[in-house]
Parts: sequence; structure tokens; C-alpha cells
Amino acid sequence: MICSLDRSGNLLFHEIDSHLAQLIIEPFEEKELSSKIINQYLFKKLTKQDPLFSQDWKEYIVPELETLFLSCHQQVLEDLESLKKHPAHAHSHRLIIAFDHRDAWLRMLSLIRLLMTFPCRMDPKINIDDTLSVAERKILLQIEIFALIQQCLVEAEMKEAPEHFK
Amino acid sequence: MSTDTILLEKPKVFQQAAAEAAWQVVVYDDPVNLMSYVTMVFQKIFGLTKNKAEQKMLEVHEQGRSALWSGNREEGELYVEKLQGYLLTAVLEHIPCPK
Repeated sequence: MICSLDRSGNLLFHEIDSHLAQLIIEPFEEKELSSKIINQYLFKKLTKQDPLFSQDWKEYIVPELETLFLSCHQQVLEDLESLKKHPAHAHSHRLIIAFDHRDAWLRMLSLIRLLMTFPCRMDPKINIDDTLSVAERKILLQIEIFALIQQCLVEAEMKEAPEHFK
Repeated sequence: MSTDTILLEKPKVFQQAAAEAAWQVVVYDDPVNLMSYVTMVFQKIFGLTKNKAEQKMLEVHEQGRSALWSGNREEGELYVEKLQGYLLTAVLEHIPCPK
């Protein structure tokens, strides 16, 4: 997989083989990503907070987060359509992340990595070794691929940031 | 004229204002989000320079948490929402008032 940035700020990932394309697409096909991350991750972190804040959080913040995550998910799914197309060569799939979609991708990559990590208590910092099952190795590989894509997005964001941000 | 110091009771309106201002937005460490991503989010949300944002990110990474902002509750909740929108573990904590 090769990444390049065009003059309009769009990120192009090319020379992606079919297997890698499938690894990228698969986790995003899950429908309940937004509610899962809110209930399984963000809410658990708030349980030690005062009841008033937790109540406010459920009432006001959760609906807005759900809307935000659903909209981001939709944009990512639209972009992934290009990865599903069958190119002439198995290793020439392409993924284009438009400038306007970068923010949605940044959020969704973070969301998907958290969702993939926590249920199976996996830490992406650990090394792949013989104790991991095939399914766990696959998840770790996907977490690393998403980290790579996210790092490209962060670098693109910072490249265009105002001078004092650099 | 007496030189004794008279301790005045702090007016209630000031006590209330202090209590309203005594909230902080704290970000906790997680093993998943990239350091560069966390730095970028701090810059986007709080308008920090790269150096300051990196310093805060390292505080989160090494000490497990960092207070990013303090002020009134309402504004703090907005910051928490923005940080959670980027999937960072952010909470609003009350700063106990000094007696």
C-alpha cells in the first residue's frame, strides 16, 4: 500500500491488494458502531463521575455524539465503496480519502481501533507472538493497518496547519 | 482605632462564582490512540502550539492523566464532548474549593 497526498489535500492509498482491502473494509461493515463505542467504552469511563454529570452526559452529549459518529461512519462507508470495486489486477485497489472526509476518517479510525482492542483486552503495543490465535493476529494486523492510515491523515492535517501549530 | 483584624465572611455571590469556575477537563491515557493523534486533537480543540500539545500528551502518557483546561462547568462539558468526539477519554472533574 502506497500513500500520497494531492494538491487538493486528498489522500490516495493505492496498490492495495485484495486481501488488505478486505481487512480494511470488514470492521466498518458493522452497523452499531456508534452505540457500541458510547455504551461499551465512553460510558464506562464516566461511571466514577458525579451522578449529575453522568445524567447530563446521557441527556445532552450522547445524542450529539451518536449523530456525529453516524455521520462519520456514513462518509467512511461511502469512501470504502471504491475499495470494493474489482480492479484489473488484484493488487491495485485504491482508496481515496477526500480532504472534506479526513476528519470523519480520523474519528472513525480511532473508534474502530478502540472497539477492536477492548472487547478482547488486546493491547496494540504487545508483540505478535505464538500465544495469539489466528483471529487475534488478524485483529492486531487490522489495528496496525488502521494506525498507519491514521498516521498518514495526522501528517496531512499537520502539514496544512497554521505555522504556529507546527 | 483598633488594629485588630476583622475577618469578613466571604460574600455568597463570590463563593458561588468560585464554585462555578472550579471545574477541570481531564484527559486519561488509553493504550490505543496514537501519540501524534492525541497531540493533533489537543491542538485542534484547545489551539495549543505543537510543543505545548506534545507536553500535555506526554503528561497523559506518562502520568496517566492531564488537566487540559479549567473554568466553568458549562464550557467544560463542551470541551469534554469535543474530546470524546475524537474518542479521547475525557471527563469533567470538580476542583475542590480551598477552605
